[in-house]
Amino acid sequence: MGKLRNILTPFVHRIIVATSILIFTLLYLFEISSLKNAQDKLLVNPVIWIIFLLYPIIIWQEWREKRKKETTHEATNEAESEASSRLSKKVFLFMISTLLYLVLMNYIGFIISTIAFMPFLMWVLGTSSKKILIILPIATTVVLYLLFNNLLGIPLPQGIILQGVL
Amino acid sequence: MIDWQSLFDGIILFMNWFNILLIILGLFLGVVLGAIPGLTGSLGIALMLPVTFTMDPLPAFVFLIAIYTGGLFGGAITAVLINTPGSPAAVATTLDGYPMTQKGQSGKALGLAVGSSTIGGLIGALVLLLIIQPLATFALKFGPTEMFIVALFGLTIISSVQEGGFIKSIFAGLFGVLLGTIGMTDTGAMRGTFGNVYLLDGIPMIPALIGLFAVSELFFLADKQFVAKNTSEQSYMSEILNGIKRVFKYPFNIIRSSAIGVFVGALPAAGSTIASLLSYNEAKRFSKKKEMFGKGNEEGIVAAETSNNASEGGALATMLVLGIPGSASTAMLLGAIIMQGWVPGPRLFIDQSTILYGVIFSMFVGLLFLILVGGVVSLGAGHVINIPTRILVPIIVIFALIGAFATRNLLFDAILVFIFGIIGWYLRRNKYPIIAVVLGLILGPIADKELLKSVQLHGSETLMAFFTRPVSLVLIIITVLGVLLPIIMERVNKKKTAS
Repeated sequence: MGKLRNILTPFVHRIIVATSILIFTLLYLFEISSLKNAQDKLLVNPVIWIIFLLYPIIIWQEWREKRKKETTHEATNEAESEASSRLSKKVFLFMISTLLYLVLMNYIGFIISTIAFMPFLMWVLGTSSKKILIILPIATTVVLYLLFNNLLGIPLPQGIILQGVL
Repeated sequence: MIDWQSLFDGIILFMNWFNILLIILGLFLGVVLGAIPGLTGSLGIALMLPVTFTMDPLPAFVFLIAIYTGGLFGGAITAVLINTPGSPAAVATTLDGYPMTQKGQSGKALGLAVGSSTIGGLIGALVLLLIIQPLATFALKFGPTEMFIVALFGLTIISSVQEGGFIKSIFAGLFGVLLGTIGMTDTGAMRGTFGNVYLLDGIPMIPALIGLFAVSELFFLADKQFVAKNTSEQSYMSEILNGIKRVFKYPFNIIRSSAIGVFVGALPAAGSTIASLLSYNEAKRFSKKKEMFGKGNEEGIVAAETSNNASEGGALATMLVLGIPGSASTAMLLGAIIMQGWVPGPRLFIDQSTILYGVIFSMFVGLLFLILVGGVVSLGAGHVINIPTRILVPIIVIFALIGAFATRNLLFDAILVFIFGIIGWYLRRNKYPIIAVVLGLILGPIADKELLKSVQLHGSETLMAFFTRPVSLVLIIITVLGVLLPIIMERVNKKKTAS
């Protein structure tokens, strides 16, 4: 983990962003290669080629900025910006639990997944009071359920497993 | 200038208690969210978009525009109380608002802010009412070639985004355009869907906006204990009222700042932040007490707050008539228009004039209520800032996910919110402006559609058509200037600071 942190400097992160967009563009180009009608690519094709053109310029810009920082500011600032570029445990758990919440909601429905997810997230973010951890998720779930299901007539997910049971 | 029949029909359509209630609720939400630094009125619009899905168009827009109005004022509360602009548009308000708080005059400062926001907003709404019909009639003369250039002009906003630099903004914008062109094309082909049937209609706007703006912000907030540090609880009704009264002592300031606000608001490239900063500068230039600016001058607050609320009228004119969103809030309002099954563009105001006149009238009513709602929220502002993120973030994230789910009853949309949240968070961390992605996402498909129509209409002479049609040519010149000016200005500024 420590090694990974050393590798993932702000510079590397910025390269990852630009490269991810480039990879998406390549995939998009591959995906539309099967389109026979040229009219479907009127705007898309130039956009894709401009992205290809801009990519090396961005990499060069980032590299130049990195060099500039190295020569002018040195250690302290670099350490600071590295610290700010790190993904904190809190945020990481927040992201993972949110993803899990969405996957679980598909199977066990809105009510149960929310009552499980919300206290967990509150705990991750630093809530310690048991009262709040129990009461607030239940209250939020009930309010949202009533608001969407009853007031707005939008049925919230029941979950594949529990469909028809509840 | 005004289609009186449609206006009266619109007023009659608007006049019921439910709409008034929606205005108060929307204002309250907008002011509260606008007051919390990090959260903005546009977040409120994003969160409430799914709720308006089942509403009729008029109450839906009345509600969302009330949030917009409230959000534009709300930023002033924390700007005055704790020197932290609740939203970027309130940056100029901090300059004199906070020094007034330090002098023990925060009540008066808040009163000045709410009073000038109301008057600025009213002037903006009046201009909107007067210019929208002729603007729409003129814009109707636009063919697909002109509309394509208008979409391109909208995309040039990207070049004026300061964050991250010019090339990165363009790169992010083009990424947005590509995302926007995903879905079934006008010729019936599947483009960029990667076999996903949920993407046939394109990437749904609401989940993308909620993810990019709201959820990405929540990921940032998770690392903080509170949305804003330190609080100041004040309760001084009479001081606030006194502040509201004092606004009328500066009539020229109000007129000048409103004019700047409406004009700059109407330019897609600028928006309320630039409007208020410009007005502040001008107020300082014209003031007899220049040296008092930045030390708690009432004129500074009046200029900044009048202007940012006046920009609403200008921004709405551009958004409603040309379909170009100049800011995150108007982008989301445009999303609401699309969600109602309407097509943004010049025809919108001709086809839906009664409802839109009703909406404009609701702005007048809403602004009058702003004094009441803004005053009440100002009184209790300290309490909202006290809510720790460990409570606030989980509630908002669940609301955001469920809200997105509700637009199409698809869990896929909630997953999109999460994905766009991650994308937005990572882009922002690495200094890529997400407003550029959003502009591409909204304007990309319009540009694509209009270009296709132009080619179908003009065939091999399409390129010539762009330059031979007079309106199109003028728009091309404006667009080129729109791209080049920010670059030249940046160079000039750099040279100035270097010397």
